[in-house]
Amino acid sequence: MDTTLIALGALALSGALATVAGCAEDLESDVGSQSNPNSQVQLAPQMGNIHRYFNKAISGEPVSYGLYVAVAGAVAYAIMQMGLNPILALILGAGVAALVHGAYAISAYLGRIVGQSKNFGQPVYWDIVMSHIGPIVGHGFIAVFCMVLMAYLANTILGNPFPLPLIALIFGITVGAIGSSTGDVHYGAEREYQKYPFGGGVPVANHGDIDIKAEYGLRNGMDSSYFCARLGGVLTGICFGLIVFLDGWRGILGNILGGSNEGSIITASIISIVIGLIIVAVLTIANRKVEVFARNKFGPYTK
Amino acid sequence: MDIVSLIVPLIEITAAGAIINASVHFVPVGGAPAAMATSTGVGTGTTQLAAGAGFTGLMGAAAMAASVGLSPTGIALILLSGAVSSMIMLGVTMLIGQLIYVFGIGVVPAADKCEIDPITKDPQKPYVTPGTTGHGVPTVCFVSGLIGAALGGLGGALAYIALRKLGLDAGIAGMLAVGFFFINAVLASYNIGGTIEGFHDPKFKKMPNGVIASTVASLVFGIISILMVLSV
Amino acid sequence: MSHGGGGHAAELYPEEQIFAAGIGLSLVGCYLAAILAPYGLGMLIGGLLASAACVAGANTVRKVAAYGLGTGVPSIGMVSLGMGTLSAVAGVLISGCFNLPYWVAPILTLIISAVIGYIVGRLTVNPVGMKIPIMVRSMTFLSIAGAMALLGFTVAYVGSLEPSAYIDGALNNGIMALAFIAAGMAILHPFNACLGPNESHKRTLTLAVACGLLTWFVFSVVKLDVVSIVVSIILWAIVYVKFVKMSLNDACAVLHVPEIPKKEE
Repeated sequence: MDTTLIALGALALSGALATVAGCAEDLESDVGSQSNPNSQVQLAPQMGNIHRYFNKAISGEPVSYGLYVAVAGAVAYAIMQMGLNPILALILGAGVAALVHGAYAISAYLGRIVGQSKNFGQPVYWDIVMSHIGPIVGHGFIAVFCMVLMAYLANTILGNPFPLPLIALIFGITVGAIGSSTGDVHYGAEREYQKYPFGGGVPVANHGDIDIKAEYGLRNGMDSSYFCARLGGVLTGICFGLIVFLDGWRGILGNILGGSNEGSIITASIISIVIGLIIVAVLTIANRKVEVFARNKFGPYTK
Repeated sequence: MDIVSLIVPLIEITAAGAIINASVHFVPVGGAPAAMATSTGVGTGTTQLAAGAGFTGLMGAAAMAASVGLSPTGIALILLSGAVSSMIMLGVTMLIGQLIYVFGIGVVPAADKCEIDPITKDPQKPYVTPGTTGHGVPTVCFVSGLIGAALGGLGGALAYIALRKLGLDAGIAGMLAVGFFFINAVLASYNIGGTIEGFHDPKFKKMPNGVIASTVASLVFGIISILMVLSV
Repeated sequence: MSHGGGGHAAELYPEEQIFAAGIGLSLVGCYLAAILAPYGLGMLIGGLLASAACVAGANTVRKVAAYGLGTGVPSIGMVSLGMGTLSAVAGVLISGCFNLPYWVAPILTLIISAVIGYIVGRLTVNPVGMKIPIMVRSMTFLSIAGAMALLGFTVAYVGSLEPSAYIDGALNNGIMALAFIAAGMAILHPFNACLGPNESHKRTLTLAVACGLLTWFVFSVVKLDVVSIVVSIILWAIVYVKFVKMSLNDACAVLHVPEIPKKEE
């Protein structure tokens, strides 16, 4: 089969996997409140708001997802060396990563809650730990499996010279950085502060005054995740999928347009760089359009 | 290996460290407050976002290096490719973040550290929620972020090229480049001290301190790397 | 991300003792792993002793982060592992370079990591301007701990200190990347997870030991060493359950129902 066709197919699959991985990663960081919005969950008991969130403070998402995906990649590499089927190896790798994920998640909840328990009266909710650890590890497994499969594709079909565990580490860090920058905002500024009116940032004075009550009963992590799946999770998935696809697509387009004979690798590379710059220009214009839309439709604050 | 083929990579590594440190200062990062729409910029940590962008650039550079090789034109292409990959990553991230800010939270992108946006000349103050220090990704922050991403991708790619020129294999060079990137990004992050809005932010004037620190650290890194390959 | 500042809780053991013990054990572990590898015991002994370096690093992070790092704890974990990667690779490769006997590599790694840690530490004070009193010393300690953890786990995996075997066994197949992030997380997670006004050194240390043992477990799985997998997971389970029980004891209340405790008026 034509190598360009195979590469394009692998790239399209990678884009799809990236979309699923981005969405799952963001939802996982909503079920188990992680990274920046978690600072509010941490602050809440100090402000007198005893809560039932899963305070999962495992450093930042890039570092923690780097760990899970790198573990999955390394274990998958070891099992593939044994001669087993690659897909089985990837699944087993993601399984070991899920165990590590669960261990870190529970220790983070216990550590943080007990670290402020006596001072502020925040109890340890063991039923929250037991009911949330399943969705946390499950979403994590989906995200990690997709990422490590992408790493495998990049290593074998898409011509990346790095070894599998290193590619896995880099993809893990990237998905964490993207999930932390996009989807977490929906959780932190909207879902955590749902009782405040829509359409404004959260003033510093209101920090820590997060929602304790849910639509019915008391709010917990799963309520946050089902809400954020509507917008934050989906957009995070699209973000990561777009990045992976655009970056690979410009390379393949360069190869096609520049011709596939010897000596035109230079032309192909130049074309791919030019396409990349065009994409960046389009992104800038799009950002400006969204900004102008917001300024005109929402208008300034009036006294 | 002769002296020239050792000195050039040393200069390249030192320059790469300085560039990486500078790049972190351009990326608009609001830290933890930005995740609550309390400050302008992307809602994550400086190191993390810079690392994400830089590593995307590193991957692009590695893939390109495997196909074009290390000739001067090849190196120029690798550097540009790394920069463009990194710009795409940060550009899409900032755009999607902007969509969430505008449609998910309903805020107008507004910067706090300038009265009017230097690029679009739009007034910012009336659109900042009272009690916050801005939110979203206004155009000046977006452009600043693109510059930062380009520099970050360039720096990561340059470090990778320098290590390859020293004769190290792709896997080793990649791993050392990852560690190298983290050292410089964290030094920059300590210099910034939390959040920065971009090149219009007063904190941006502190950049020379960070660049000097990274230059020294990268020089040490480069000297040790040279010692590693001396008998090869 | 967290922002340090858990308060300076009383120390069970002084930082220097824990650091010396951790680094000493992992140094011994490097040699034992290389010596015992032909008998198949390399990962069993080497991995166990390498986790001591993770504990030492985690303890130092606890001490320095309590001053309020301003950008969070993950950064200091990553910078120490970045320095550690360079030192570990340099230690092994340089010993091959100048035709030194290859058992000198761990000592070289120790020296190089101390030098880099000291230089970067000085740079963060001036010109970068961090105002933490113990910054230089902590950076040096962390660099050494990171380097020893990295070297310990990779040597336990490869089974030899010889440069060519090490390059093929740990660097070209990417296992160093796993060591980088796994050791990094084991070093930065314990204090980051336990911080707060009621932080206790005992709980943090227990979690640090558990994280180190979990890292050993991951490496055993990657090495496909069944004995090591079983021993490490059992030891980890024992320490982890101890941590959970300690935490439940230290909490003000452990509830199993969705009920917010009533505040006394």
